[in-house]
Amino acid sequence: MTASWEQEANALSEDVGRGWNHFWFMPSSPDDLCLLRIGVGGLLCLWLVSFSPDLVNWFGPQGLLPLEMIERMRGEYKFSLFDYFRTVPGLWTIHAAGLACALALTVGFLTRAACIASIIVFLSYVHRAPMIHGQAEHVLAMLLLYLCLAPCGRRFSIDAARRRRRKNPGDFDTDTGQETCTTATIARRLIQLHLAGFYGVMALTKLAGNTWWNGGAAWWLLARSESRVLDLTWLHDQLLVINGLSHGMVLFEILFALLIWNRRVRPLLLLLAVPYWCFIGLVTGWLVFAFSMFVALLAFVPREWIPGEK
Amino acid sequence: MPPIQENRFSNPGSEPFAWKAGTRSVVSLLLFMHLCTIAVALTSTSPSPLQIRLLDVFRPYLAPLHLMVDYTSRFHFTHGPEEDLDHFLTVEWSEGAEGGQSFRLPTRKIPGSPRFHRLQLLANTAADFARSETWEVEIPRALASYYLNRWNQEEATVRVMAHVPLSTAEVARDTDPDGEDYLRPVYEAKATVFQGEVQLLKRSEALEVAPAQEDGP
Repeated sequence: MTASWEQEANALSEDVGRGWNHFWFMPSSPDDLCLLRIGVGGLLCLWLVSFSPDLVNWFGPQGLLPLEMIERMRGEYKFSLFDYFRTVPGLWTIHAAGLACALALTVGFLTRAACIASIIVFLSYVHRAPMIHGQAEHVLAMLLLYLCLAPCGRRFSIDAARRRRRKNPGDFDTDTGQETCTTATIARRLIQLHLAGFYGVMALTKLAGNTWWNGGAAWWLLARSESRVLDLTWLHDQLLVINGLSHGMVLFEILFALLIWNRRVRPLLLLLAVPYWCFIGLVTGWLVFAFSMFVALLAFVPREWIPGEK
Repeated sequence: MPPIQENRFSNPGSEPFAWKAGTRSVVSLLLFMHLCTIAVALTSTSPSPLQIRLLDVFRPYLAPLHLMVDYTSRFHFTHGPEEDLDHFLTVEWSEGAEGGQSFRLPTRKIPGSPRFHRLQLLANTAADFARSETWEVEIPRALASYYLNRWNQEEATVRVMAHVPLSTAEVARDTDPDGEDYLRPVYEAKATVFQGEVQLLKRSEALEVAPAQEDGP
């Protein structure tokens, strides 16, 4: 009896260990992460550019958010380069450097260094003024962090072109898309788990409120007239549609968090995510958030959908 | 199909993994610790006392990387007009060399733009702070300082306003969504420059902003 229990425990332990190793350490092609790098870099460029007209108004010595106020409010362990560059020329220096890093990340020039520098600059903006950042910044921080681990400059990048031009015999042909490595797997898995976690949080926090249970929540999104891009309040007499939207949103988020791991269901969920995030972006006006969730989906895109993959 | 090449870290032995068992063990431990911190961070939008303690332990790791999620992150999108409203800020003065001026943040020119979104998050934060004696003056004072400095004024009125959405019944009655009944002050103060510093004199207590709903959404 004891021996049988021990055997089963050992078998279970081996299965779990094998599964864990396979999940995290099986070398894989980083091509999807290279595409993700382009998406994240491009989004970061736009995000930084959108600060340009107001940089001094926000962070300048006479700006809307004085550093003394932020230091009182933001809590411990938050670092920002803007704490040290307080003058107007200093602000513009950081901003220009940040844009250069984001651009380098997008085109894949000195990719690893560009990615690390990009996240430092990005977090500097976030910690300089935490109250003007929302869900999108959580997603971007997560993506940038994990891309720092990944060899995301191996394809679709200036680094890859330079490596190809050097043509050293020991180098890999970065055009074939057949290069594999373990850090790509780890980075992809971390992004996937974290993203599924975001979907789970979205669903669970919705279910903590009565409005999502009674089906009225979608209306309260549609009716917020300040921020919406698309006015759908003509649905006011379509109560069942509003109920369906509310329940459908929660259901989609739960299904995504749980079933995105199933290879057969994954393409369907990815396709459903497109109208879902279009709807959220247009109805709430959170376009950057919606776009960042779009970009993050690239971590789940099947290999055969990627150009050059077999 | 061309053969798959392993990179320089690969070990072409019988094991499919490129990393040695010892390396995998160390990395596994690090991954496990990281995932634990992320799990606590993501599930702490309304934290229990245990989660608060765990967050305090993990804060030096999570906070610098902006991995902590709280209720104000609004991943629930909305919990109805009792809890989640759009807000805006206004600053106005009635006298001065150029006559009265009134500013509204955010203006409603480009909803959806990052600039609009940031200003609205600022207004929403100011409304959240209006419930806190410690923080309620911070954003209105910063806003007043910015405009009084810029326009060389001595006195202004600062407001944090809530825009209450219409219910389905109100939309059916063609109610104006921007009517006065739906724009409610959450915080209002008179800002005055005194010895070079802006001081606020609060005019009203934080108000209940949600109207009594007759018939649900």
